[in-house]
Formats: sequence, structure tokens, C-alpha cells
Amino acid sequence: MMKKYIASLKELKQSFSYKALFDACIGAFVFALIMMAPVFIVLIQLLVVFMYKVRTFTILLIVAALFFNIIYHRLFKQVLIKKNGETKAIVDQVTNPVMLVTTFVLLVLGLVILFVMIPIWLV
Amino acid sequence: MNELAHTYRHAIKYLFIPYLILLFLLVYPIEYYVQSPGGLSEVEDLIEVDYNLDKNIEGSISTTFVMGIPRPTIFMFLAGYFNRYADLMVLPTNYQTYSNEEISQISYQDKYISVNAAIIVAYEAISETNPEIIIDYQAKTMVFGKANYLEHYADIAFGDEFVSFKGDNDVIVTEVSAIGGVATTSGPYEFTFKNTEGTEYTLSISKNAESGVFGITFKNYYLVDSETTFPHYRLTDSNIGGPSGGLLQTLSIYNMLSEEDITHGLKVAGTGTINYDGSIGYIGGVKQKIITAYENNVDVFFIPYLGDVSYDNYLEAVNVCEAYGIEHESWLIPVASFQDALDYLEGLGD
Repeated sequence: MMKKYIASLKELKQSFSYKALFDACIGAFVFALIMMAPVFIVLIQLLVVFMYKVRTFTILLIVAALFFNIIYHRLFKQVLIKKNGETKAIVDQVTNPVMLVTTFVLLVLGLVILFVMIPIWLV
Repeated sequence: MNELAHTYRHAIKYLFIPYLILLFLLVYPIEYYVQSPGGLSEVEDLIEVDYNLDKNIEGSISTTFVMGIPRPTIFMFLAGYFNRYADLMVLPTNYQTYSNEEISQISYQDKYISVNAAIIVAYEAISETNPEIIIDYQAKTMVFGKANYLEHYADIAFGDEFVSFKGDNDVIVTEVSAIGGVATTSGPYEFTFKNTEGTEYTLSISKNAESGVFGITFKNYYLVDSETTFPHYRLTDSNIGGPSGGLLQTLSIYNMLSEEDITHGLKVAGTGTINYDGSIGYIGGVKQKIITAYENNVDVFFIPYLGDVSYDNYLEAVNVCEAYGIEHESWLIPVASFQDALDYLEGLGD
């Protein structure tokens, strides 16, 4: 499975220059941030005003972070496919596993914040 | 990036102005103060005493904190408006000249003094029955307030210790109360302070021509000497400020030092400042603290009841409970001193 992924990655590198990949990465990040930044700020400010519901708003922030991740990856794919429509399959093969892994990492981080960091922070 | 900008050009065109308006609501601060319910903070997480380490404390003792938000954004203000438990008010006069960072510093300083007072009261109380316990502390005077016209405003920090003052005819005084007697002109006079790192510094400060005062407010307090006090203790850095946890801090420290577990497995919380003689003082944000305690299902909640006919925290708490339909008979306990709270908890074991 790993070999197949590395092969897909090599194929992706052949289809796109590093500059194009970097541009897609930055562009997707900036656009995802523009979309989600107000959501994050709203949730953080609501958390502060409704601090007695701190866990509820932390869960909503975790969900927002997962959304950010999904939006970022979708935009990233969109840019690459727009540059070269024939590479859709290979782009999917490379980005989908990355999206799953980052979603899992964000989820774990969120749970650590929820159950470990918040009790420490509220001293 | 250009591909995305081109794809979403219509959305960018139509949403740009609403987006800017939303950001404005989210970042622009207004001169108001929002106070809303916060949470419980276990005192055991704040202070650790090296004593009775094998003792099993079945319950918990927590302070209750509320969220005080000086200069909220317009969005936070609106959120507070729709929060039925929040209070909105114009920024208190004593906060208006301070930045939010300075307000936080004052709040943390209050907490630090409160924790020291709690240690003193708890150690002294337990030392009456356990001679092994030793408490040692010194009187200090610190900078607690600065007027905006104070010279060297930025050089003097909240919490810096007052060391001495060189007055008329180079008379040096070390008591703040003596300054008035040796500072008969507008100055300048030399103040010597010690910062939190222990470094002394001297500044020449004149009285303000309009008000006729230097513009520094001092506060006297006692600081525990952790080297000579037994048993030793460790304080954890705290993100919660203010003095209103004093009573509960005292109870928790007492519980760490005593043989008996005074919690009896209960979730104990409350509010009230602690004075050096063990009496307790009024606090603000009663409504928010009661709601916080109720939301957290506490078993016992101590609240100051000093018998004042015009105003009392307990009476206000009862009114809050009635206004929000909260039953209070079984868990809201009025107390006037640390001893009252201790007697109540010890009585639960009988």
C-alpha cells in the first residue's frame, strides 16, 4: 500500500513542478483560512462569553478545524486538477490519504486539548 | 492562488464588504465590561503541599471563577447581551485608565496576595493543634495602582515592592504612611522599589501639579517565607486572577495539612476573599458564580454572609436562585469566616 502511494507521489511530482505544487498549497491554505478564520474567531469569542460551556465550544472548534482541513484539501485538489485535468485520479490517490491522516491528527490533538489541556489551563 | 481567485471571483466581489463588516464586529473593542459565568478550579491544581502525601482526599475543593471581559469586541458584547446569565456594564472607572494587560496584571497580583493570605490562615489554624506546622511571613508594600499622570509610568510595574522614600532634608522612610510627613513640596523625590526579580531601582518622581499627589497606590500585604515555613509548598502558574478564591484556598490548604478529610467525598466550592484574621470579605459577580456552581453540580457552595442589612452576597445569591428557579436550601451555605466553613464541613462527618 505504501509502495503504491510512493509511486503515486512520484507520478504527481512528474506532472507538476514544485512551484505549481507550492502555489496550490499556499493558495488553498490562504483561501481556506479566509473562509474559516471568522468561524474560528466567532467560536473563540463565544467560548469566552459562554465559558461555562467550554467543552461544548471546544468540540465545535475541533469540528471547525476538521472542516478547515477538508476545505484546504478540496481547494488544493481543485487547483491541481484545474492546472492539469488529466491528473485527477493521481491527485486523489495522493491527497485523500493525507487528508485522512491530518484529520486523524487534528482529532487526536483536539481530544488532548479537551481532556488534558483545558483542565490544566483552568487553574 | 490565481486559479482560486479566478474561480471564486464572484463570491469575492459580493462578499468582500460583508466580510470586512464581520471582521470589524469581531475585532473592534468597545469601552464596556462583560461579566459571565466561568467555571470551577480545583485548588489542589494550584497549590501542592509536601505533607500527608499518602492521604486520600475523596472529594474536591474548588474556587469559582467568572469571566470578566474588559473592552469586549462588538460581537462579544452582542453575545453577552443574548447570554441570560451575563451582565453588561460600562467599563468600571478604575479600569478605564488601564490597558487590558494591566488589568490582568492587577488581577494576578490580587490572586497572589490571596493565596499567600490563604496559606497564612490555614497554616496558623492547623498549627494550633499540630506544633510541627511552622508559618513564617513578612509584611510588604507593593504598587497596586498607577495614575495616568504618574512620572516614569512605564518603569514602575504593578506588584513592585516599595523599599524606601527619600523625603525633605534627605530623610529616608520605609513606611508608605510616613511619606506624607516628609514630602511637603511638589518634589521631585526619590522612590526606591524592588521588582519581582529582586532588583532594586530608584526613580525621581514629582507630585502632579493638578492633583497634588504622586499618582501611585500602594497595598500592604503579607508574603509567606517559603524557606522557613514547614511543610514546603509549590504554587502552579495560574491563568485565573482575582482574590475571591481566598476562602476556598484556605479550606483546601487546611485539608492538605489535616489528618481528617474535611470534604467527606463532596464537591465543595464557594467564593469569598480571606482576611488575615480568618474573616471573609464580599465578592463581585454573585449571579455568575451561582450559575457556575449550579451548572457544575456542586454539593456545597460557601458564600459570604456578613449580616449587612443593606447588601449581602448571600441575600443576593438567594435572589439569583429564586429568579432562575434554582433550589438553594441544600447547597448554598452562608458563612462569615473560615472557621464557619470549617465547622460546617467538620459537622458533616458527625
